[in-house]
Amino acid sequence: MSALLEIAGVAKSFGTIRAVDGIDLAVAPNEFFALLGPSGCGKTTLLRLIAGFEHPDRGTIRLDGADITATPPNKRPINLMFQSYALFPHMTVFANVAYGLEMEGLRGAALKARVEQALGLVQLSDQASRKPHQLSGGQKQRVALARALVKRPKLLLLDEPLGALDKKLREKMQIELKRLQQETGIAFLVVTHDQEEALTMADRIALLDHGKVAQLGRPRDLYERPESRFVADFVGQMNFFEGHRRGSGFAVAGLGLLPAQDLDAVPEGTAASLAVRPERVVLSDTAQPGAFAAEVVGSAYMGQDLVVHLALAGSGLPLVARLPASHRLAADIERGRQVHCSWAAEHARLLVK
Amino acid sequence: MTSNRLLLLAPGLAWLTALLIIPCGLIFVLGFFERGVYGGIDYTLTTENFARAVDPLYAGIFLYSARIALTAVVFSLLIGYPAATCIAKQPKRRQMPLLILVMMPFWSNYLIRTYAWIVLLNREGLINGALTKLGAISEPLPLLYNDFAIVTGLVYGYVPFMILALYSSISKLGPELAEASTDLGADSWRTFLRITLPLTLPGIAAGSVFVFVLSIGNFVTPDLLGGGKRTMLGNLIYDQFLTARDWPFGATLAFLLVALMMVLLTCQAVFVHRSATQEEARA
Ligand SMILES: Nc1ncnc2c1ncn2[C@@H]1O[C@H](COP(=O)(O)OP(=O)(O)OP(=O)(O)O)[C@@H](O)[C@H]1O
Ligand SMILES: [Mg+2]
Repeated sequence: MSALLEIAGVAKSFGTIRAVDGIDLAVAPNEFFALLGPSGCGKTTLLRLIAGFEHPDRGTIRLDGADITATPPNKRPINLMFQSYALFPHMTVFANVAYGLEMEGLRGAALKARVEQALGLVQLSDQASRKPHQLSGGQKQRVALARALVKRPKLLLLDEPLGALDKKLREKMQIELKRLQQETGIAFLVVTHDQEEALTMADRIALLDHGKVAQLGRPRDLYERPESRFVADFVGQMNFFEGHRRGSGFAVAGLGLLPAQDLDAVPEGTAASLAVRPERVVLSDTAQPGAFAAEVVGSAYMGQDLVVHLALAGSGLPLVARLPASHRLAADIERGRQVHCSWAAEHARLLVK
Repeated sequence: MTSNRLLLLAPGLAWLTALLIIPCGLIFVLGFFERGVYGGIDYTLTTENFARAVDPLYAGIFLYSARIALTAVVFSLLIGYPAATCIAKQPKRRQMPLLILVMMPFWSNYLIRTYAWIVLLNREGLINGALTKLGAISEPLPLLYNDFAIVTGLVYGYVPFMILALYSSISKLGPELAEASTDLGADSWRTFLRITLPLTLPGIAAGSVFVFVLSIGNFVTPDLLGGGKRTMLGNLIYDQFLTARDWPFGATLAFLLVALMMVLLTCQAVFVHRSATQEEARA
């Protein structure tokens, strides 16, 4: 499968700030690709480089094999859905969506048909004659989407498309976006700082940190096999233990030797972090070999799950466990209760970076 | 609460009443009396002054003034729009100094600045002198004491108002909508025509009304740069009061001018208010 969009060694600085600092990535045709990262890591800048509003200091951008690094934005078969939607306030919904097609020279019945089809796709046919200021946030977002989709670009860039919506609407629109992407067959490159959103929607994710790609892979790769502490920390919740690789395990002060996955990959004596997902921590009320005694210091009820905050006996190190609400122990977890916790070696990951 | 607010408003209201509303009322009333034999006022009611004001002679002066003012508006727009766009596109910290530069001419007297144009434009002035030295012309160009000189003086004097009005409109717009337009395939000219221009109409209207109102009533510039050969509405009113000593007719003309300005300013305010409420709803 050849790539639709190829970015090679792209960098862009603003004064002394390296907003994008040498990024390589490729997006396949028909792919739903997410750019994830904390605020200020360069996500918007990268999108603006791809759309053509910024010119890279170095590196090349290719679309379908053709170098478009120097192509002006109005000549790129790429559309950007702006973070603030950027709807034209003096035009109706219909005129907003028609605008891009008019620029292609489309007129009359053909134009009308295309616009109506796009409005149908985002379920806004009945709002065609309204002005943007008469619409709700979710409706504006869908107009912006229709305006970009109607051009049938090869690649659609979306900058925090759901950022302005409340949680309920967000979840609904996540499914909507995924449906639209599959129905239209257009490759989507979506920027988000919400890791859950990226995990649920994307085929692949690039996690950015300070203008560089920290890790690129499928959602499962990022979640299950983070390659650095930054990735492990950013994606999902994580328990960390600081220590050193020693003998048959990982030595943590106050806890002794802990089991871990892929021990052989880390040389003896190397300082590292041991990362364990809260849902991989097993709680029990009876002592078992290899389990640590701990005291419950608090808990948060999350509906399906119960998040339990623990302090390990002796060292006092914090540990977070997540258990299904249906778990045998969930009913009587209370502050001060003594429990025993453990995890399987294959769920404890050693991170050196 | 309300009485407190009235108290705070009182000085301003008193000022406006004493110095604006009462004089305007006086001028209005004065227009309905006859001129006295020796230049005084004969307190007999008449509508003759208003009938006289629409006489072709005076209507012609009115139309001429409007044409000059409109020309000044057009050139102020042509100069002001690119200038305001350029300022609005600068980094934020550079915008304020540039705006102060735009306002700088107001630090010196309008009369003196208008005199300076005589130095520039006259037959032996800087422009004709330079062009002759360069060999571009053999005869000095007639730059002074004509409509060209009047329009030049008015545009020079009032273009800062145009720039400020346009700047506030353009800078509020931000770059994003223009970028969205480009992204959808429009070149910069079509982006300007379909997005930037319609959305900055309130600024265009405000600047145009300012320049028009200030220009049509101006009497210093036509006097100095027009050489007194052409009479504009301002000169006519000036003459009625000070030369012809026909106060009632002068008052009628002045009232008509003020009424025209009020109508224009009100239209403009309503227009700005309408687009502002739309914008509020958008935000
Ligand atoms: N036009 C600009 N001029 C100067 N600095 C800029 C400009 N645009 C972005 N930056 C800087 O570049 C860095 C990356 O910005 P960018 O907008 O790409 O971040 P982001 O990942 O989109 O963040 P957010 O999640 O907050 O939107 C930031 O430090 C920002 O201050
Ligand atoms: Mg951003």
